[in-house]
Amino acid sequence: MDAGFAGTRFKVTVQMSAQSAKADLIVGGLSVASGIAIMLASRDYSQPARQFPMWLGATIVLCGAIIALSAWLRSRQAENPGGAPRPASSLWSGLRENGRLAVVLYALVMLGWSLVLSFGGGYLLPSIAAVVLLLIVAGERRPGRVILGAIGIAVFVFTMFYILFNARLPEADYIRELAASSRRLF
Amino acid sequence: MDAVLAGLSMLTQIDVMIYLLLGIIAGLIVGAIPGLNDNIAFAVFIPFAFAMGAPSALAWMIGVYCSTSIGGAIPAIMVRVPGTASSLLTSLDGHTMARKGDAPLALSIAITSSVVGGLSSSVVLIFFAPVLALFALRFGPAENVALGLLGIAGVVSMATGSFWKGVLSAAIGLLIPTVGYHHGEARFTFGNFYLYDGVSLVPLLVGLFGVAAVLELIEEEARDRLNGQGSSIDRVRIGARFLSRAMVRRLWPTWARASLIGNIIGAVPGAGALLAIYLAYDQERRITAIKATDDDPDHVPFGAGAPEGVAAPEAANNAVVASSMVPLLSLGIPGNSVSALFIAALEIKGMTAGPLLFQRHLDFVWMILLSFLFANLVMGPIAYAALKWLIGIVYALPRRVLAAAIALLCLSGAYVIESTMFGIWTALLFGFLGYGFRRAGIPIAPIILAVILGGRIESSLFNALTLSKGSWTIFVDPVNHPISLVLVLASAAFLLSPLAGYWRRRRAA
Repeated sequence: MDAGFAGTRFKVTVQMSAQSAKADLIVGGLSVASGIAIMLASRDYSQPARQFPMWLGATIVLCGAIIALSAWLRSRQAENPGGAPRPASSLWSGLRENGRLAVVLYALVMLGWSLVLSFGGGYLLPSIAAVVLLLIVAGERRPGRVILGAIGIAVFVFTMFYILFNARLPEADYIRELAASSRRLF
Repeated sequence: MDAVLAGLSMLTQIDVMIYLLLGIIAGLIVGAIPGLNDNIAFAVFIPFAFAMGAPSALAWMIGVYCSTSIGGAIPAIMVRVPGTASSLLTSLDGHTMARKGDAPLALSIAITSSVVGGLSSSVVLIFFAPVLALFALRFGPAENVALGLLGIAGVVSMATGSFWKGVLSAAIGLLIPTVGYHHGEARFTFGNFYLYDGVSLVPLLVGLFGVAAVLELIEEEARDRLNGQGSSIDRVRIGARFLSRAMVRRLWPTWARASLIGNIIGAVPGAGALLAIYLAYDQERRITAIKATDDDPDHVPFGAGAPEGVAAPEAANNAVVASSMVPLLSLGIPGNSVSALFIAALEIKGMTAGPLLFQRHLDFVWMILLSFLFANLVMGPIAYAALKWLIGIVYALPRRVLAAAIALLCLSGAYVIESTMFGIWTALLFGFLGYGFRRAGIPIAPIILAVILGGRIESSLFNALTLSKGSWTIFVDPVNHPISLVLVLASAAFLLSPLAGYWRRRRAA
């Protein structure tokens, strides 16, 4: 095997292993913290109510500790073996390279849509706007397709739930008030 | 016999039949689109089940569940991209056959093998589920705890990746049903009125399966775009053809062996289709290699386009489908995460999976059993007839549009369940958690199973310890609770098997 290629592959493997060890350290640490929090919260409950969550909290602490410990051991093995500095990458470019920026933006659009619905923004208009943004985040750049796609998807979902299956969907305050005032007219 | 007839009459109602056929078509489409699977289809669909009759909702789900793996074989053979994970190995020999110009033959073998595997598991389901349910009626609290433990131990031991992450996932799953009003007090409700009844199962499942899958789909799409790879695949116009008698004679032993493996694996909680396809493929590879002679003109080595390499995984993955319902219907233990979603659908309709289902809703049970048989009978002809159209429609749908549609369907569905925004927030929370767990290598299947079994395990544990005055020996008492002892030992074997494998590897190294 070409020595240069083998060396590069080794470096990539070590870097990936270091990344996964870092992720596992975070998972382990979070698990230990959550497990302890669960055990502390369970202390206030009566004996039958606290027993089961206490055991689960302890199990989560144990698993988290083992995951963190094994990650720490792995990260020590993988720690900068050749002495070469690791290329620094900004959070932004890291997110962009992995496609995770799109995930973050997608999640933000979904959260924004939910907030608008919570504050009485209605269903159809916020949904069309949200799907427009979702399609753009996903990489669709043709305006016609974005707008028609968004209207099509939102109207399809609205028709399925509201008309076909007679299910309730969030209503806009202004539409509710408009309907109420128009009823008062008659 | 009356119950069988009642189940048959329920199934033969026109609306139920239509939903079953629509489910089969939906399953074929969902399976054929890389990135979508039956989990997502159910996550999108379950909220609709509220507005439908129970037989129609179950018939639709059965149709989807049975036909997804056939759909998954289409892109696996045509473009070497498995539509579902269970079609992973089909792509090896199937795509090689397609490159040699044998795509119609490969597609036909995939469809016929799926039908054979599916029919065999329907028969197993019809014969074994009622017997096992009769046996399970003798279970008390100790046995129920041990059974729940067995289900979770099975899933944890079979989960890919770290064993401890599997245990962590199960513990988190068991913790979720502790939220709400239990033992006379509100636990982990943080004063939130909506949490007094516990975490609602449907938004949770919609989040873990639907929202998390959408985020993964978007990540994949963005990565492909940045790498300059288009998600569109060239359209192909190709159909299937009927198998020759010689080919059927050649593949019969493969179908029989692979179906047997699929049926056994399917009935083990947590084992799943992936294990079944690997075992069946490996078994056939060994047998074909032993049988092969240099002067055999029909012999094609595995990986080079062997028809057995398509037949074995396809028969095995469909044999898992109905047999995974054996522990679900008879014991209330889901065989895998997809069958776990049936529990959610049954709960929506006021039914509980397990032996009591056979006592209280025997007509429904027979409707479910017969639906599996019928779905497997008709999905073959439907797949043959729809193949050309299916290939066309599948490659016309862009992933970005699908992701947006699934996101809106899932979140709107989460609202519809209780007509509150709390459903949407729950789905989003579990969607983000599910995505994070997948990124961190924490398996999702143990969470799902533990969420479903958690309430039952805790209440049975409380009852068992009350009966035994706090003595833990009740679970391993060979005289009064031999079934519990056997189940606890089996759970221990499941949990210790990955550790034993780890120590063996360390000693060998």
